[in-house]
Amino acid sequence: MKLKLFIFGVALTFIAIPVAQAGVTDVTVFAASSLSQTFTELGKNYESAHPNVKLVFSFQSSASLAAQLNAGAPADLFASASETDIARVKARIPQSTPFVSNRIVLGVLLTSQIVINKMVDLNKRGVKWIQCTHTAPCGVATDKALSVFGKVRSRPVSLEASASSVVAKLVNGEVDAAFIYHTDFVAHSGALREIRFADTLSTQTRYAIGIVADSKNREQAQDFMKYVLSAKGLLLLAQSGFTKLTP
Amino acid sequence: MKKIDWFNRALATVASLVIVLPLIALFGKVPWSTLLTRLTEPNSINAIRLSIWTSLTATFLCVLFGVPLAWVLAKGNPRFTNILRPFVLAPIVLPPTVAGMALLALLGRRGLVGRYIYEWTGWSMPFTTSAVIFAGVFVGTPFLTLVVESTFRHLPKDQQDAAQIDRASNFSLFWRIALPQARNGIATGAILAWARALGEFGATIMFAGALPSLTQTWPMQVYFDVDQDMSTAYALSAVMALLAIGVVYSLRNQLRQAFTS
Repeated sequence: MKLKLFIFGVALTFIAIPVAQAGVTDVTVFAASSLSQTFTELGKNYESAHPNVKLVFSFQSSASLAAQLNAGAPADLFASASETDIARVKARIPQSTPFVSNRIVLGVLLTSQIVINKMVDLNKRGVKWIQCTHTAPCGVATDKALSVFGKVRSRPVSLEASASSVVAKLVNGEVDAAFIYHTDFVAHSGALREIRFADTLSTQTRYAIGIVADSKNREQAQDFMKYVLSAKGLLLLAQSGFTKLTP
Repeated sequence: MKKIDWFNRALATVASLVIVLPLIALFGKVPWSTLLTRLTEPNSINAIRLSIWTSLTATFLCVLFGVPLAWVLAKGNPRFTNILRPFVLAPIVLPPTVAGMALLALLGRRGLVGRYIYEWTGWSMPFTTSAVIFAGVFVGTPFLTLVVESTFRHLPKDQQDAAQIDRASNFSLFWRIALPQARNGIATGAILAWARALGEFGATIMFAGALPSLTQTWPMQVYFDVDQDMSTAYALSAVMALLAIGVVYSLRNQLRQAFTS
């Protein structure tokens, strides 16, 4: 009897969920994992001003998101950490707008047992460091920065799938250092120190945002994009450490 | 055939299509003409090689420790084994990410035990090939013990009884009588554990990271290839699927026995 009641309750919950949200449009936003904190906050602000829109975010490596879009994933908006990855989905996103840039820095754990004060300290014995996989935008930027710098001879212990998994492993203390975005350093400045490359151009990646042409929620997606690109949105992005692109 | 009514037949058709169609589709997507070159690309071959040797090592460890564990579960005091069993079988139904969290919680640099290992030796398990093997043992052992415990429980009693009357030690009872009798069950369990370790992905990517040749396993290679080179991902997947079907086919009789008795 109890079991039946339980099953009935579960079934009722499932029926009730869609009913409770009738009249609300779900807008699916694919965004680079490095945007997760800022976009989550932007999303909250936006939703409280637009109660009829619910933003559903998928934060992953832009390379993965681009591959998913090319495989037909039902997204309405894509914010990519690189212009290359958004260009790969031209068939679905014919137009995109570059909006901010970010740069790769070396993040060092404050509690690291090995002293790391400069890039070449990565060559010290016993240092464990990680970076993004070569296909993710953060990996592309890291590879470029390292090849211009040319003096790091040790190898990473892992090539992580996305920027967010690199940061998570660094902040959780599994490695001593990692190549992360400046914005991720800003978000975790209590636990990390950052070492910058002297060259600023090679470390940079430009973020671009665009509407999926076959989206069913074009209007709502467009409106959220307008909010991201508004003075308010760009201010929040700048506070997170992104650099505004001068048009 | 006449014993099966139309209703069951219809639902069974749906169930088998749900499983069989995706597999057929997978084989349909394989770039057959370039299959060999895709499988022998450095990235693919490194991943396959790493997966094979780490999963075999994991299987060896599963058997070494898992068979005695199955013996304890089969013959031990039920008040103890009934508490232990759910824990050692849990990884079978545990989400891979949860398994990854558990391994990090224990052996990460800030893990319960990993913290001390790191403080004393400067070594930590995450991001090493050992981590790949450990994850394989963690997910594989339950499959082995599940099958082997059942085998031990259903061994013919007469030889063991005779041995006990002859005052054989517990040690030789296990080695001389139970172990040889259970060899089929152990082989079945070992193959299942191997297949599970070979296919392990989630816990491994969380616990061991992903570096070609060191920790980037076959399933992980599929995951990364999807972003860049779909055809190679299909090629690698299809071989994995063939292996899985082959394993289950070769074990068809043993599996039926293991779960019916």
